Amino acid sequence: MTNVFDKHHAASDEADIEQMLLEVGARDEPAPEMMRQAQANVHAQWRAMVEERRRRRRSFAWGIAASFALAVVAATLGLRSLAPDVSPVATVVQVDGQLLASTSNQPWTAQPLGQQLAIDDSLMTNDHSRAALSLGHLSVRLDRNTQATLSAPNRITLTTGALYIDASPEAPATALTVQVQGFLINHLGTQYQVRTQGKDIEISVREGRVTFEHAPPAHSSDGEFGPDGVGQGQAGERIRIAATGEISRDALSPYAQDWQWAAAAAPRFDIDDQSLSTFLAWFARETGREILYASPAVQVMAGQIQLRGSIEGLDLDTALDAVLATTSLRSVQASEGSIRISLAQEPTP
Amino acid sequence: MKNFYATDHELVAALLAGDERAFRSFFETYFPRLYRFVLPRLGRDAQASEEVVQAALIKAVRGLPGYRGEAALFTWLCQICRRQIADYLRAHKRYSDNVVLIDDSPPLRAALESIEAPAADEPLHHYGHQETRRLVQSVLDRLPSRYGDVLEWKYIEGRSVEEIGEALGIGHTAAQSMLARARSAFREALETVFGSTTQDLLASMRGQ
Repeated sequence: MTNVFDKHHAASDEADIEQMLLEVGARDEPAPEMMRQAQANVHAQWRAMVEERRRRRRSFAWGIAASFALAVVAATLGLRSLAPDVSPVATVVQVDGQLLASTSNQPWTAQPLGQQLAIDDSLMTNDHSRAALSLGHLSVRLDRNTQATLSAPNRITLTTGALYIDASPEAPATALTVQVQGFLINHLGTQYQVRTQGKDIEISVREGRVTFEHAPPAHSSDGEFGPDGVGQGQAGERIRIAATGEISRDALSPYAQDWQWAAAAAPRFDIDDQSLSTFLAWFARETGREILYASPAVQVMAGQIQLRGSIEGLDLDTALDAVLATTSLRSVQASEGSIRISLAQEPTP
Repeated sequence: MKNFYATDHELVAALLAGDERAFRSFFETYFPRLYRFVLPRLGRDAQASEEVVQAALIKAVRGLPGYRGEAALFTWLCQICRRQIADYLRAHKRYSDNVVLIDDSPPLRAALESIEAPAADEPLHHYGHQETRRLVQSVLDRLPSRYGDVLEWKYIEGRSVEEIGEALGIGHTAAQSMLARARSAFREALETVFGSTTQDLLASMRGQ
């Protein structure tokens, strides 16, 4: 039962809300014409998605029957399919600028995020574009002015430009071979980049080891290749293979300028609901810098802090500062290649 | 248009099933809200905002099968918009125009998101008049259903309950009831975000 006081209170409450809304004014509205155009475009994509789902469901239903029949036929005849493999081998996970792709000399088309790529897809970036692909446990990044082809499920042929390979520790050593100018390069659980310099090749190893060999393998007498015709590159090395076959090496730190483009092309790291230590491990892997915790307690704390928000559009150092600013920890550059994480109020050594 | 979908899950399920009414409801509900989300973040560039929202919605409809309902639909769409804004700024080399809004700060973002999924949050207050005005508008966009529209129609545009009911395809009593729920949700949301009553907030905006 409502009494006079309740009615008065409700009326006053409604008046407050009315006054508040009049004070803040109406919200911005998109122009009707703009909205109609956008609605038509989004609607077309939505219909395409719905149709694709229906098609897949139909294919799945037919596929069950068809695969059973195929299995019977295959078992009977013992035939192996000779059809070309068109199953996706890579996914576009980051594009800064434009990533173009073409198959079998078809026109080049821009590839959106999430696009799946298949064998024989050729890829190209221009002088203001970079991109990153995901291949299972591997991250492959294309620098500016790069052309490469997905020539097999585990092989990329680099024509020009540079590729950066980040193989997570669980990636098998045979996960990916880069073919470039007559050489095959394999990783042994590592981060490395391959760059063409005219007719020369430059292989830089950030972590782990890589092997390189002629394609097809051939023996060399200059001592750079082992008895099996395979050369090796270690972490911190840059190997230049000249068109003449001459090989030279020099040192390259994991945080050198040469790696910065790969960090800029890295797939987005979504910090929402991640622990601070996960973010710091990602930061360390992308920058090549080591994270040093001031104490075990600080390390434990970093594992317990859950992050919220976004680091979209921020470079890595700014992202680190922005993330730590929301915690009771801070970072100090301990050396050129390491960062020390300590309590904000802790004196620096 | 009547909002036939009581929850985000229902709406997404209808969208995945190819329901045209669901699409219209989805677009008419979220395009204006996302436009207002993007507009201040792109220096109030209307054309760029429209481009970004359209691209984000295209990405969203393509990714709908992957929506798990772990976050409110609007929060999920905002997350896609944030990525799209970053891409737009990067592609157009407009880093200097990258606007960082107070509602992007983790505590306030959490409070705004908590309107959709109530949780205990620390109250937030002491913003300037313009920030407060924009935040109140953000609160309207975060209210469930079309409560924000209903409140604006009634108290800013001066539409009658009958007209509101007609716009939503519902009867007079249902419109009245929806208006009461909208007021209640708005009042509670303001208290969650600002930590003060509507009356106190109004007084503070007017410098009393």
